[in-house]
Amino acid sequence: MDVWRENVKRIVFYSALTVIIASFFLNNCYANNKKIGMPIVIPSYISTLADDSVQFALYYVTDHDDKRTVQRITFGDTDIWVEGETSDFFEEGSSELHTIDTFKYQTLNRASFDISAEEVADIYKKGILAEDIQVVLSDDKKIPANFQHFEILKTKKKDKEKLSFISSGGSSEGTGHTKFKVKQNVKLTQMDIPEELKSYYEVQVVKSYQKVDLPFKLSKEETLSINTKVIRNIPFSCDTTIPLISNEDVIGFISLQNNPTISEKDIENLVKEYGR
Amino acid sequence: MKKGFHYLFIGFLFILFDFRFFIDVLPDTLGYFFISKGITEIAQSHKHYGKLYLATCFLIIIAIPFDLNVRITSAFSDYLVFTWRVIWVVYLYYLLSILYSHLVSENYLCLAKSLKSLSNKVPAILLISLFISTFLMNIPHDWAESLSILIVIVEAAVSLWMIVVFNKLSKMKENKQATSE
Repeated sequence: MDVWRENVKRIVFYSALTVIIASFFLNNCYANNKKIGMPIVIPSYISTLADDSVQFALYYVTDHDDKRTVQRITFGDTDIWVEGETSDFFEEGSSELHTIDTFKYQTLNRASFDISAEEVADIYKKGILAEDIQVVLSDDKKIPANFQHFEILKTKKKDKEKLSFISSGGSSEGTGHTKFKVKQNVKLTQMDIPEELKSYYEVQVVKSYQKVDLPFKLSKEETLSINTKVIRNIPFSCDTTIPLISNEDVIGFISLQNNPTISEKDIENLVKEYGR
Repeated sequence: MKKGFHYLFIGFLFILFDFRFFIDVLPDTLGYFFISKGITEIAQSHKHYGKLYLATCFLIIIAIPFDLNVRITSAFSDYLVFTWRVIWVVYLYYLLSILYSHLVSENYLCLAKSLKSLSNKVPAILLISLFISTFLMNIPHDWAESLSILIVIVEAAVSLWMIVVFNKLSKMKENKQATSE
C-alpha cells in the first residue's frame, strides 16, 4: 500500500513539475515575443527659429533588460550630446508619463538636448531632413530619431515688426497663450499649424477681447491673443514654433509645447509601426 | 539519530538564512555539508542513500558561487534561477521522502509522524509557488510585485517550518515502536 502511495505521489510530483517547466518555457516565449529588440524613439514634432536656441526632449522605449541609453543626436556631422541625468525622471506618480513605466516589457526613458543658436544656424545651413536625423546609443548603434517634423524657420526681422510680443504663458493642464500688440495695420490670414497637430489642439484667436475667425484685419494698437489648449493626449513630444502669416509674409510666431502622455496602447502601436 | 537531525537543523539554518557582508556569513556550502552529515547519520542504510548523498555533494559545489556573491548577468540568468529552483524542489522532495520512509521502515514512528506533514506539504507548497512564479513575467507589474512578495513570505514560512521541525526532531526521544501491522 505504501509503495503504491509512494508511486502515485512521485507521478503526481513529476507531472506537476512537467507542467511547471512547460509553463516557464511558454511564458518565456510569450515575453520574448513582446520584446522590441532595438530601442524606439517616440515621434516628435520640433520646429524652431534659425537665430534661436532650442531645448527639447526625446522619449524612447527600451526593453526592461536593455541597459542602452541615448548618448547623442546627430544632424549630419553635428553631434549634440544628451544634457544631464535622466534616470530620476520617472518617479512614482510624478507624471502621466509614469504610466508606461508600469508596462510589462518596456521602459520609457528621456533624453534632453540643448542646441545653441549657433548650432541651430549650422544645422539650418546644411538643410538636414527630418528622416536623416539619428540618435546614437551607448553601444554606438544608430537608430532613427523619428522626427515626423523637424524644421528650422528663417526669421525675418522686418516682418516681426508688424506684431510686438507682449507676453506668453502656459499651464500644466495644457493651456497656453501668446499676446501681441499690433504695430501697423495688417491682415492675419493663416496660422501654419502642421496638419498632424491640428487634431490635438484647440486654437482660439482673440482680438480686443473678442473671439475671431481667420482671416481678419488687425488695426494698429489693437491687442491680439492666441490661446491654445490641448484637447486630447498627445502621444509624442512637441516643441513647435507656429508662424502667423499675412498673405505670404510671416508676421509673428507662437509656440506649442507639450510632453507626451503615453499609454500602453500607444506603445503597442509604436512597436507595431517601428519595432522589430 | 538525534545527532543526524541536529546536523539537518544546522544545515537548513545555514542554507535558508542569508546574512551577507560581502560574502554569505552563513554559507550554503557549509549547510549542504551538514545535511550530508545528517543524512549519513540518519539514513545510511536506506537503499537511495548513495544517490541522495551524491546529490548533496553536487549541491555543495553548486552553492560555492552563490556564497562568493558571484553575480550572474547573463541573458540566461532567468533560466539559471529557474533551473536552480527546480533542482531545490526535487532535492527537498527526495530528501524528505527518503528520511520519512527510512524512519517508517526503521520503526521510528513517532519521529516519522512529525516528519510526515513536512514531507507531504513542503514539496506541494514549493511546486505551487514555482508554478505561480512562472507567470510573473507576463502579468501586470503591480500584480507581479504583490505576488512576488506573497511567494517570498510563503517560502520563508516553509523554510522556518522545516527548521523548527528539524530542531524539534533533534530533541525528541528516539524510541522505536512496533508497527500496528
